[in-house]
Amino acid sequence: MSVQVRIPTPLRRFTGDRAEVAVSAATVEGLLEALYADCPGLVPHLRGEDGQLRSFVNVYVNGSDVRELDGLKTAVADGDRVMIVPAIAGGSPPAGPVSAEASVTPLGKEEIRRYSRHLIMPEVTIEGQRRLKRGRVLLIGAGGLGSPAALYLAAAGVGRVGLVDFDVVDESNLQRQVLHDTTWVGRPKLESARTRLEALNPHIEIVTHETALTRENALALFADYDVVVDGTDSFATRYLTNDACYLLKKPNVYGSIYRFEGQASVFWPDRGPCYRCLYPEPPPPGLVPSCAEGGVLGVLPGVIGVIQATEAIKILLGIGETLAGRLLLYDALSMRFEELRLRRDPGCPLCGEAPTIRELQDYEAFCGLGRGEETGGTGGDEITPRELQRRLEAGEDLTLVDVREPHEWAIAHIEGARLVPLGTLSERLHEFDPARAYVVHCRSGQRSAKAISALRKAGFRRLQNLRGGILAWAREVDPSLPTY
Amino acid sequence: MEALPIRIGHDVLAAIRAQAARAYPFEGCGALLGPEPVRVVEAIPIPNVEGGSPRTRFTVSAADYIAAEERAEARGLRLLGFWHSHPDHPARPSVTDRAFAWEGLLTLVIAVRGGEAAELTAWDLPGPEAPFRERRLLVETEATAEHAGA
Repeated sequence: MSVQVRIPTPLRRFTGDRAEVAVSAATVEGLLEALYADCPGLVPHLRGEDGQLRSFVNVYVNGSDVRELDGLKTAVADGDRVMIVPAIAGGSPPAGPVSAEASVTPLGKEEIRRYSRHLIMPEVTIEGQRRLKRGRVLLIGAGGLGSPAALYLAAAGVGRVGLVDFDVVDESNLQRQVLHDTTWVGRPKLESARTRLEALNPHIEIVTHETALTRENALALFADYDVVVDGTDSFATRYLTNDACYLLKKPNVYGSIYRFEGQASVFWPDRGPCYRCLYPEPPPPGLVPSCAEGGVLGVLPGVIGVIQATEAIKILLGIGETLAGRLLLYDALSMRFEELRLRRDPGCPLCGEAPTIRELQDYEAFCGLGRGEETGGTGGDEITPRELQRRLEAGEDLTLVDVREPHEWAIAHIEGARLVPLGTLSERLHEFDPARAYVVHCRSGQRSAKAISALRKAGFRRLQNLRGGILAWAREVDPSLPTY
Repeated sequence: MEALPIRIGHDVLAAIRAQAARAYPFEGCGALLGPEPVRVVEAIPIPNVEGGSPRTRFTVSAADYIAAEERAEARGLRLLGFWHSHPDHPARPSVTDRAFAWEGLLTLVIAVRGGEAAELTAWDLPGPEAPFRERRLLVETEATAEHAGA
C-alpha cells in the first residue's frame, strides 16, 4: 500500500524539497520507519530518545492527531492523508513554573475520558490538563496531610507526584492517613502509597524517595519538581523545606495541624513572604506538642491537605488567587475559617533586604534538637523499662509517677503508678517526699523530662525518667498494654 | 558572513502591527509567506488557540498550520515562518520561543505596549542546537518592491 505523507516546509530540506513522500506501510509506526529509511535526515527532528514521536511534532491521519487515535499503532491505508505538523508555539517570558513543553504534552483517549470534567471547564480545558500532566509536585511526608494531597493530585492528573517519607504504616496512622489501609500496617508507607496511587491513576508517574529530608539532599530532590507541598510535622523539616524552596525559587504549599486547628498558606518566593517571615524562630523544643502527644482530629488533615492540593493545582494551572501573602486558619470545633494578611519581613534573614542565609543550615541545631532532646535537657538520670521492672520486682522502695492526662491513663497505665498530670504538678509538690526515690514517666519521655526539671528546681534529687515512657514499657515489658 | 536581510512589504508590516494591537492584551500570531526565504509578501492572521495563558503564550492549531501551508502552495509561495506579539514585553525571543522554534522557519516578534504596536524584530536558527540569530529587516515600499522584483 502506498500512503502519501505531507512534509512541512521546515523539514523539506531533508526530503530533497519534496512536499510529499510516498511510502508503503500499514501503521503510522511503519510509515515513519519507511520515511526514515528514505530520508534519514528526518530522524533527529521526528524521533525522540524514547523512540516515540518528539513532543514538538504531531502526525495527523485524515485530520486527527494520532495521539488521540492509537498513537504509533494507528492503522493507515491506501489513500489516507497523512501529515506531519510541527508544533508552533511560543510566548513572552515564562509565566509560571510549568515548562515550555506544556502545550504539546499529548493526552491519550483514555485520559481525555478520565479528565472530561476538567476539560469542559474554560479555566482548565485540554491545555490546562496538559499543564497538569507536565506538572511535578513533591510531597514532604506521606502522612496526615500528604495522604489526601497525594490522592487528589494523582486523581487530578498531575504528571509526577513525588513523596518523601521513610516511616512504616502504624495502626495509629489509619485514623487519618487515608492513603494507607489496614493490610499495610508494619510495611513502608511509600510502598503503600505507590500501590494506592498507581491503582488510582495509571497515567501518571509516582516517584518515591525513601529517605529523611536533609540539608544534604533537599536541593537535589526539590530541583526535579515545580511545587513542594509541606506536610511535615517537625519544625526542623519545615524550616529546611522553606529555605530550600526559597533558594530554588519554588512555591512551597504549607499546611499544619494540631488537635482541632489547622493552617495553610503558600510561601512563593518573590510573590509573598516565607515561613521565616511568619515564624522567625522555632518554639523551644517540647513547648509545642506534636500530634503524637496532643492528638489530632482525624478528619482535620483531610481538610488542610485538600486545601494544599487545591493550591498546588492552581499554581500548575496558573489560575485564580493563591494563598501567597495570606495565612488561612481553620478551627474545626467552631467550624470557622479566618484569614491573616502576611507581609514579607524586610529583616527576614532569608527573603529580606539584607539576607544572611544563602545556603541550607543545620536545622536540628536551629530547632534546639539533637543532644538532650529526650530528656528535655535536664541532664537527669534515665532508667530503662527493664531496669525499672527489675527494681520493682526486687521490691525496691520507689514511687512511679505518671504525669500524663487522666484520659491517657484510662487507655493504659502501669500497675502501681501514681497519676499526677504535668499541669497539676506545681500545686501538688507537697505530696512528694524529698527522701523518696521517684521514677517519672509519660507517654514517650518528653513531659516526664519537664516534670523532672520542675521537681529538681523544687529541690527534689532522687529522680529518674523512664526512657521511652509507657510506650517503651509496653514494648519491652508488658506487651498486653494497648499503645496509642 | 552576515545573513541576508529579510525584506518585508510595507503593507504586510502594517497588517501585522494592526493585528498585534487588536490582540492586546493577549498574544497575537500569524503565518508569513513569500516567494523566497528572504522576502515576506503576505501575513496570514491566525487565531491564538492557547487556552492556559494567552497573555504570555501563543499556540497555532494544527489545522491552522496546515491551512497556512495550503494557502502558500495555492499562491505559489512558501511558508517562511510565523510572527507573534509580546504584550508589554520587549521584542526579544523568550526561552519558550527558542524551545519551540524550528530551523528553517523565521520567528518575527513584535512588542505591543499598552495596546500600541511597537518594535519588531526577526530571528532564525542557524542550526538545530543554535541560539537565535537576529536577522536585519528591510521594509519595502511598493516602489522598492517593484524595483526589487524587476
